[in-house]
Formats: sequence, C-alpha cells, structure tokens
Amino acid sequence: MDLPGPIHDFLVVLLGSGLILGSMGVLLFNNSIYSAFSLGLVLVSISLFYILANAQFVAAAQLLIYVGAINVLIIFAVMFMKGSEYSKDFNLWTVGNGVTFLVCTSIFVSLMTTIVDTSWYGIIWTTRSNQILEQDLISNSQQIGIYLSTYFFLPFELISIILLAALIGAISVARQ
Amino acid sequence: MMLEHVLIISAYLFSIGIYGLITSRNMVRALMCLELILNAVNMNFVTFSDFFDSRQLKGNIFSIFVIAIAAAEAAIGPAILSSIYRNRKSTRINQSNLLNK
Repeated sequence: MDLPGPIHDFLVVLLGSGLILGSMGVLLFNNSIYSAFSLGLVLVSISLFYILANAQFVAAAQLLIYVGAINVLIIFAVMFMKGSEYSKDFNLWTVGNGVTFLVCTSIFVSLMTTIVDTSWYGIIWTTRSNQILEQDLISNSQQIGIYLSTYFFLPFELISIILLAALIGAISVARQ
Repeated sequence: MMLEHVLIISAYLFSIGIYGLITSRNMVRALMCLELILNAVNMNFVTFSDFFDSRQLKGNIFSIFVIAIAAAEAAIGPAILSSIYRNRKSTRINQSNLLNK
C-alpha cells in the first residue's frame, strides 16, 4: 500500500512492537487464556502487515480464518480444561529449557546474520528487470482467483479434500 | 517497508515459536506456538511475493494453502486434546501416555 513515508514507518514500528510483545506474551503469561488473547493480538498485527505488503486478500483470509476460527477454537480449548493446572506448570526452569533457549537463540542469530549479509537490492533489481512491465488492470484478488482456477487447480482441490478429511477426523475423534 | 525488518521479525517469531513448542508443558500452549511458526512462514511468503514477484502473486497463493493446512491442524489439535483430557483429566504433554494401556 502506498502510504507516505513517516506514516508507513510509524505503522511498521507500531505493528512490529505489538507483534514482539504479543509473541512474548504467548510464552510468558501464566494464565493460558491471556496467552490465547495475546496470540489474537499477534494474528491481527500480522494481518495488518499483510495489508501494508499489498496482499489484501491474504490479509482478509488471515483475519477471517486465524482470528475468527483458529483463535476462537484455541480459546474454546483453553476454557474446556479446568483452570487449576495452569499455575503449577510454570517456574520450572530445567536444563532442557536452557538448552532449548541456547539453540533457539543461535537459530535466530544465524538467521539474522544471513538476512543482514545478503544483498537483497541486487536481487530485487535483477528480478524486477526481467518481469514484463504490463499494466495490471485487474486487482490482486481477481488475479488470485484466476490463478487458483487455472494453474493451481489441482492443489486447490487437494486442499479441499484434506480439509474435509481433517474435519471428519476431528469430529469422529472428539465425539467418541 | 524495509525487507530486512520484516524478515528479522519473522525470524524472531519462528524462534519464539520453536522455543515455546519444545518447552511448553501445556498442550494448548504448544498449539499456539505452532500457529506462531506457521505465521512466521506466511509472513516470509507474502513479503517475498511483494518484493520479488509482485506480478505473479504466487507467494500469496501458497500462503493461502498454508492457512488452509493450519485450519485443518487447528481442527485436529483440540479434538485430540479433548479426547486426551477426557481420558486423562490432564493436558500435560509429559503425562499423555495413552498408548500403553
């Protein structure tokens, strides 16, 4: 989305800080219902990121499916358990947690050095110059629909079969 | 939007998700961290599609597929969770040894 520069930077900083704090809250809240709501905050800010990245259709799908369905289902699963077993889950800093923390920090640091070292702008200019500069008269959502019904027709049907099988399996497991 | 900032944020989300997925003892929290990992992957897809492939939109389509798989996973997860909870009265990961009965 083409916003003027300071508004864009302000929005990126705001959404990024919400995302970082929310994902820390998913881990660190004692009560699981709070961490489910902070997961909702993370999902909403990711959807706004998608709007900033010119992907309105994916933003709408993220908002509908993740926030509207998955997060509500997770909150339902939290409310389904009894609340007494949450308090004793925490403050158990074992050796495995330390090892996992080291491994995750090293993954993050190595990814970050790779991202910083790569010269992205050279790749951008080489790929942009190869693309055909056609004027796109149709919007992104129409283009996604055209691709889904032509090039990606078989994966689309397969994904619907997977969803159907997963829903039937979930019902038959939960019903017992 | 700077490309590196979004990539660093999604790398952060990915590592937070892996840490929570391995260390959490509550099964619901493990599901939430799995959603964080899938969202980090989706952010990478959408950002690369915006920067490198803005005519073709294939990253957007692939992220829609990932969202559909995540919906299937989020339907299966609480179903297994409620089944385990009904049998065990607990959702701790290290106590879910239902197969040895």
